[in-house]
Amino acid sequence: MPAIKFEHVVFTGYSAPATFTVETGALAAVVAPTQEISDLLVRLLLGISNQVSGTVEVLGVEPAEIPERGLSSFRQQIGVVNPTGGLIFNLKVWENILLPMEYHLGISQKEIEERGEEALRTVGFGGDVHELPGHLSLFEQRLASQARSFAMQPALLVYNELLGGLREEDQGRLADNALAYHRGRPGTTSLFLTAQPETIRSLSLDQCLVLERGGNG
Amino acid sequence: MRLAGAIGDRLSETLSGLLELGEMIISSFGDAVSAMKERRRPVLNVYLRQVYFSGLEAVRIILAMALIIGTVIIAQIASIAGGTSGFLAGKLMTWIILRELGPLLVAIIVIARSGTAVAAELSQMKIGGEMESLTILGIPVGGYLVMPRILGIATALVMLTIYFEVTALLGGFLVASIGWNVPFELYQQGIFSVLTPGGVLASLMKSAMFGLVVASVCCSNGLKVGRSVTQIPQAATRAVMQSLLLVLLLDGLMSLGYLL
Repeated sequence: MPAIKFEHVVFTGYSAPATFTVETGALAAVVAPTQEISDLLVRLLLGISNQVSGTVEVLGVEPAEIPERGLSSFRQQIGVVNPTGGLIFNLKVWENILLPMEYHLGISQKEIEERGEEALRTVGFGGDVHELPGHLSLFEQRLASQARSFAMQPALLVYNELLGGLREEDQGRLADNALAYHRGRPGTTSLFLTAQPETIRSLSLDQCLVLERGGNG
Repeated sequence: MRLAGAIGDRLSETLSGLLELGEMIISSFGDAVSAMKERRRPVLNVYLRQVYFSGLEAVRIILAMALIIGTVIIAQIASIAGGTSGFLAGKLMTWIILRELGPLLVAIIVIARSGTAVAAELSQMKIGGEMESLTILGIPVGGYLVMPRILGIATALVMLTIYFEVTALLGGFLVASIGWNVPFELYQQGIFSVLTPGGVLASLMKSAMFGLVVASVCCSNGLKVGRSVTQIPQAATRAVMQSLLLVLLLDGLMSLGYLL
């Protein structure tokens, strides 16, 4: 079963039908013509926006067909690292890491905290976890976001412009984390979305799809 | 004709706004039940934080205000009825503080302190993409951000009203006993002649109602912003004005209800 399947998908801002498949367990990338298209792809994958036509299938289900009540449990299977990190600014970094686990997983607080600590160690977060995210650099925010996603142990990881706008050294750290996590958890699908193909050139990907401006890759 | 049309449009807009608020309050109770069933710790944390910010942090200003209001009212009563009428003073104080001023003044302070904060915070979160981040995490904005704020503000308002009413009544007595040698016995008799469990409950219900309305108006305005930061102060101002108007309207209706 493919992790992601797009069949003749037309969506707002992208008129030509997009068709591609990302197999389960693959390390793949989709190069979008613009950052807006990358953001839209994330929204389509999570069922936040719906396509104009065609079929989107993620982890065996069509997000557009999931009823409102089921979306929450569907989304917890997908970890997303956004360009801005997507942290909640009135929660400390540590609270941000724990938030989805505390909200979704019916496990003990001790286990949640252990998972959080483990995820922070895995990504090598060196900042103060008791700070509010506003005090962190963009790189640190993305690291924290990566840790938050890893802690949830999702089936699909989506890195939306993970490496753009950072120093080469920081890009390397984030990419290494993503690759190490992918290799360490067979069966997990990792998808890089980017509008800056030069940032993913050094990654050894199983698949790289290019969505042409207004056309199919 | 055009004027009638405009008035009609405005009325239907107001009605649909009120219905929206009602829906928000009702769905908050539904969300609260499901959060309790599923033991959502983060939701409880947001609720407790809201009670802390709107309730505990406002205690000092509420107590100061209650003392001043208690003093002002007792001074007026004494100047009209004379210093010897301790019974009447206690009776009138209870009547005015419990039925009217307690819930109303506390609501006004909460609107000024927390209403603006909630509207501005939610607007900022929406514009900054944090609400979308929550959606991406599978955490519903209504259940995580809105419901605990609505219930937190309502809880805080009820607590603050209790503090306000007790302080105003005791503070009033203190001033009356020092200024006009009103005996505690008489003052107390006056209070208990009109203080019934039903009256206390009605006062607290009124407070809870004000809290639900204020919080839902502020949340709704916070959620309605678009993408520009200039909309944040606009949302806060609108939230304050609408909350004040609705609280005064509700207060008027409830006071009429007492009479009928």
